[in-house]
Amino acid sequence: MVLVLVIGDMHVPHRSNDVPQKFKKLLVPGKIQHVLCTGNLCTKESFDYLKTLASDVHVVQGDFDEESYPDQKVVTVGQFRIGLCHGHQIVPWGDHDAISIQQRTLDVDIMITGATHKFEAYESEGKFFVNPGTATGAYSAINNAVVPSFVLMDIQAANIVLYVYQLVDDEVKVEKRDFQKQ
Amino acid sequence: VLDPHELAKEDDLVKNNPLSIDDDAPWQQHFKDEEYRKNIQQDI
Repeated sequence: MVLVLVIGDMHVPHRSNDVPQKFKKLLVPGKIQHVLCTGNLCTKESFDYLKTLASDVHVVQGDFDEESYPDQKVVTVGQFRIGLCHGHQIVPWGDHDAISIQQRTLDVDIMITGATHKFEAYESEGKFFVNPGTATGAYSAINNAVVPSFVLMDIQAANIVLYVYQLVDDEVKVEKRDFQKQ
Repeated sequence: VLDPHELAKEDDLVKNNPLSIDDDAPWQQHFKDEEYRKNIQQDI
């Protein structure tokens, strides 16, 4: 059993002060094995924060990152090949067909993107697509009802249980999705 | 051995998720057990 945190688009300090306290209370060291970050952190401080949660932290380059990260990454966890890309390079932003092309290019089982500040998790042609949204609820020009969110994936053999944490009316709401590798 | 996935079938996800800080959450128990197992392994 491996717990993978998927988080990104914090935009600290430009669009938000910090990750909400109610999220920080949940995110404690010792539980999570891997952190996959979709980028736009935007400063090193946010990276250092992620580093406190798990030693294995992967970050890709967002369009507002000060630090320099790879444009995209492929991380293998158990039986899954996971593709990570911020997604501002994939136009139109958040477009399912465009993201599918990226998924096929990287040849991954799970494709993780960000950029839209909107949580999404769906299955298409046997592959799994995840967008963790923005952890801080940062402003987005294309989404006027931003909800702070992040994703936690519980990977066991060929199964994934995905938990999405959303901050709605200052309360943490949790939902669950299942995905099975084919 | 307690499997948090078995108990996770309960519907209250706010309480029952891997990051839950609720003391009664099955996951919380699971992480404690992991800790114990690690210690036992070291002692052996």
